[in-house]
Amino acid sequence: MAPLESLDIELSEKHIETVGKFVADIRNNKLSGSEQIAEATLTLVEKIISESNATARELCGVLRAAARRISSSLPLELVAINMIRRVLRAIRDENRASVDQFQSGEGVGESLQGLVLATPARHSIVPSTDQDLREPIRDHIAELRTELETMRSSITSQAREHVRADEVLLTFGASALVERFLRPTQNRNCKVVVAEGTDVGESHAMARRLSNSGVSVTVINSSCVFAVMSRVNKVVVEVQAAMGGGAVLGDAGLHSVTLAAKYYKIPVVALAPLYRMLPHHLYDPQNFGSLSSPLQTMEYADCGSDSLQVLAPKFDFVPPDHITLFITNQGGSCPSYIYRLLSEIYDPKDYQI
Amino acid sequence: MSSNEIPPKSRDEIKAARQAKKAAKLKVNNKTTENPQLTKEIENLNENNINSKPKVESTDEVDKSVVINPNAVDISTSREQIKADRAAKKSAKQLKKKGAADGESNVQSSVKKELKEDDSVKQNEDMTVKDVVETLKNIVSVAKEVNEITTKVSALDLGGKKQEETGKSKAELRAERRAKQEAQRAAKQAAEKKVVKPKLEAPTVNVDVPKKEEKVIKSKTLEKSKTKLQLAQRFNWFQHLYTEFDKNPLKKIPINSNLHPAIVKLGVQLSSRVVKGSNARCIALLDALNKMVRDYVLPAKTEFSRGLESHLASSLEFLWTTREPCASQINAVKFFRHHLAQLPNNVDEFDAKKTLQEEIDRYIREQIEMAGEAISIAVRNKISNGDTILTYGCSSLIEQILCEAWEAGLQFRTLVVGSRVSPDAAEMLRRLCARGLPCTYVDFTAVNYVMKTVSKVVLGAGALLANGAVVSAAGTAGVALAARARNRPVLVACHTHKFIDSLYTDAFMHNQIGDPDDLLEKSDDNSPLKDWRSNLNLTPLNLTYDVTPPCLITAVVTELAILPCTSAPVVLRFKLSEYGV
Amino acid sequence: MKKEEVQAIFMKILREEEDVSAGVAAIKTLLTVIENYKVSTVRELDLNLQLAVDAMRHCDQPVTAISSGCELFMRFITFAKLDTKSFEECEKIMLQRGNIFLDKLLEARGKVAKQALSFICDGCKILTHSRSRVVLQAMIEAIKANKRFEVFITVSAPDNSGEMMHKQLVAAGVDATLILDSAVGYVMEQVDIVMIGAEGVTESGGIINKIGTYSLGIAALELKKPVYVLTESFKFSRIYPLNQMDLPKEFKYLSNTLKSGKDLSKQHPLVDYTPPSYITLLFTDLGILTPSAVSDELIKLYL
Repeated sequence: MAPLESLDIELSEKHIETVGKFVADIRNNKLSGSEQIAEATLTLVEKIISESNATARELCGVLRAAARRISSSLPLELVAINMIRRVLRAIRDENRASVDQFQSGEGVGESLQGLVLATPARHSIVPSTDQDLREPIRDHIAELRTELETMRSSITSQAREHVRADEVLLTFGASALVERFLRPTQNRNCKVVVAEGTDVGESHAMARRLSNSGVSVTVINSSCVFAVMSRVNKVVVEVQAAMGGGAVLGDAGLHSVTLAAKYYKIPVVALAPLYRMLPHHLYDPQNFGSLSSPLQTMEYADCGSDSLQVLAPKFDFVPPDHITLFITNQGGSCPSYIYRLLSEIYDPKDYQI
Repeated sequence: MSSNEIPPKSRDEIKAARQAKKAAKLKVNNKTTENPQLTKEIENLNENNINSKPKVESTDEVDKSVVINPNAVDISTSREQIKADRAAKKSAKQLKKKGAADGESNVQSSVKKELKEDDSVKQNEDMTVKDVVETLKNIVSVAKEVNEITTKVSALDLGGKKQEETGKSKAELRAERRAKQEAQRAAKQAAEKKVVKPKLEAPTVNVDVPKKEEKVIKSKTLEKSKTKLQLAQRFNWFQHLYTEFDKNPLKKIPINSNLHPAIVKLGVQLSSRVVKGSNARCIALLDALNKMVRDYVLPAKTEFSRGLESHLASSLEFLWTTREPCASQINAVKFFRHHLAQLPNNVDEFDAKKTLQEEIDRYIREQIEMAGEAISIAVRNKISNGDTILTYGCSSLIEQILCEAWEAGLQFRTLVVGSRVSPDAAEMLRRLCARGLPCTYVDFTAVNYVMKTVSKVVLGAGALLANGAVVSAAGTAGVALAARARNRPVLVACHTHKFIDSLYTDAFMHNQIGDPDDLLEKSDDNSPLKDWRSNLNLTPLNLTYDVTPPCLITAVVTELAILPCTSAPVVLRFKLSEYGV
Repeated sequence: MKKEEVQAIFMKILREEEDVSAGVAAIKTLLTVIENYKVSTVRELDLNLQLAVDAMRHCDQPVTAISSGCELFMRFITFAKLDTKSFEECEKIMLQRGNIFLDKLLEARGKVAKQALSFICDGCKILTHSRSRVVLQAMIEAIKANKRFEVFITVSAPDNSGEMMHKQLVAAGVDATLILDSAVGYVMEQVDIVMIGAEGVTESGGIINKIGTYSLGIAALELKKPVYVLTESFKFSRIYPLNQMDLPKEFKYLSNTLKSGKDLSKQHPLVDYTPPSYITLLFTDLGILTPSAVSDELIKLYL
């Protein structure tokens, strides 16, 4: 049987078009917000699967090629690639189940146990079945969709446990998830401090919506965060990506907030739905160190001289020791346990697409 | 704008009223029940006698925090008032026991009666000159108390909890609600009546919408005690500081004051932030003082130093209402007063003026200019070729250091970090670019991103505290923290005249609230924060200062030496012995 | 089978194959024992292997790697015993699997080196301690990938193994500088990352490595430099030291020193224990792990 991994399929014309449309939608902001992008990715995957060959080998190959294409056009669109990784994991699991491989304990990939229990068959590459896996894959995708739908409620319901009465919560930047997380706090007489992020208008709008729903909100600039941090009880933020090892990729300015929180020993709670789990460890300066338009920092007309350089980075890398708790769909977990979550939802072969 | 002098008659009235009130107070203090006390303390105001039972801690706390300084002019009617109230209360209590709603109407009528008196009394009030601030305070306290009652009432409804008596009848509840509405309406009326007259007390309020004023007073009321009443208040950490940003200082000046025009000009400049930065403010202040001394006319039969001292006091009082003094200004004033006090008793006016002016010039020359040069040389030694120097916000000293270093031939790149809210950093950038330095500009959110390329961080200071902490523009602490996270040395350049003897632990104890409207995006007409004033739940907070703890700072560069932060008290002691300040 | 014979085999392997670490050599020795010393029952085999392990421990070689490697091998053997009926078959299967196991271990180094490659960026400065074949291989891979970097390598007394590492690095074309062990604090502010090998990985996620590693870890934490440990998975062992004193004596001192009865408190230890809080990531053939994941792996295997 042909091996599963070593396959480099070129996308067919049809698929290129579908993927191209998906990318264009994201670029034109027709799909805005990570939830929408995640759902759209699932739709895309379903379409691709229904139009290609049914063997696991083919499916994996096609999806990986699609993912490569997406990541080369939108290197910072992490959510889409993560969703594709999850579907790939589902395919590989199905494949393994149907081939009836000897499962070496929990999780896939290498383990000491696997090493020690080495059998000749285990040693070789997992073969691919010829069965039609499309139906079970579709079921998996439906499950993923349900997970997406319930993601919001599962995360915000955990707010109850983590937010006590009369607390002062600080959040950074604008995030729909954090807003929903904070809304029930008005019953507990909590105060919220919103520190403006890079997208100032959005942060203000979120503050206003929260205040309209009854929560007492104070809006500050990110430079004042250290000054007020001594009065804050908890910091709640949503992150762009939760990386292996528990590090976090957030909006620019998040690192300053977590540094201040660490100085005053205040717990930082990071909300990370599963589609934000990124299986990388390293802060890749090439991609994650990318810059956005300097216009948000300074108007061109205000620039004094020609030799002036204005920088506006997009992301901020936060090391794992700054985060106290991750809240995901499946509950809370500490940063040192993220690797476990990663091994459950992705296949190690898909870490590098 | 300003007010007239009070005719002496009303002043006596006030005094008499006050004394009568004191007597009344003593009388009442013998009583043990809470309610009469309540009545007495908040006489002439809307009183809700519904709650005849002593209410729980919240009421007491609020009462304790209330300044017992009732409206002086109303004292004449106090005793009768007390009796009437007490009677009303008794009847209310009895009726309550019967469970009738009559008591409420009784109370309401007494409330209305009080109101009428309130209004008539208030119309007699005139605005006072600055030295009768107590009367102003009375007005404020009256207003405070009016609103306190309102909030108490509303809290009673909102909070419920311990305060609610079990088994209240529906009628009673309805009556309560009615009385509450009456009280609120009355409070509003009273407040509106007051607003007709311009306000002079510090912190001043924009004489705009009565509603706004009411809210401001509301937010000032609950000082430290965060009780359940907070539900009706705007959440504000800085209630102990000014809560309203005033843009028009000229209102504060009474018409017949003899403030020197230079002082007035300085006041306006300070208030409108034309003059900012600790050095600039200090020099501007000394300059104004110089002019004041020069033009000072000594009244007959007064000693020079005493006369000038009182004149100085009044000038400074005005100035400090326009903007709180910074450390350099406080020290400059101390220095000036010290020399003023040291003038011999029977000194000739001309000589005295000359001495003082010379001292002022010397201070500026030595403490600011020469010190700046020394600091510049010291920091220049720490800058090497190829460095990237990061600085935050605007500081005239840092600008001097960097420009002089550049002109001396050092090759380095400057990285200016700014905040969206304050235009300081952009100003600094302009100045540096004009002198030809290669610069990079980033917003505060990018500080951690650029820190890896930075070799040293050089910051300016507004003040250096006795524990070594640095008071500077909001955001400085965040920059120092980011630098420490990457092990970059942080240098703070600070003249010794900015060292002060206070100790704060955080940025809350002593800070200045900037204009909250600065937080709104200028380019956006429909900013979501546009009508924050009408939304009690939404407060933009614009802090001016920040306290950087000494552990984040590597060294402080002064004209005396490069010191570790913790040696600040040593310098203070040294200064004390040298200058007597 | 005599102790001296085993030791002779062991030393021979170490001498002839420079590239092989003590742990792998130990496993090879054990395999040789199974091959050469024919026995008829499982129990005898067990005894033989135990004797062999014991013999190797008294060889004046660093015991840490030997002990963890052998323990894993024993576990491996135990799993093999259970399925078969006749002893000859069992032995055959054991040998077969033993060779697979060995092959996997030999591949491990390559896998680790590949993973570490992406963490060595252009222009970075690396600090490393003493001689580690895995780190050497990682750096050679980086050179092959045309990365430019600079390495600081400590001399690592008392056996000055850092000097040999320095020679090998220079021979491979790496820009390497030899520094004193005591200069670690001084150099630390200039480096970007710290990359070290390990002789053993403890259940807590910490490592046992040549003496001086702990100081390196402390300096790195203080100056906020990441510490990456490159190690193969067979070095995971079940010990859990609480502090430096809690390390087993066999690890810290050579067998000769222990036998001679000298006062151990006056002897220089060979290894020290670096707690997991000083380690950022472990690169193993099982993947990139955080120190807390190590215990996870061990639990899966042993429990």
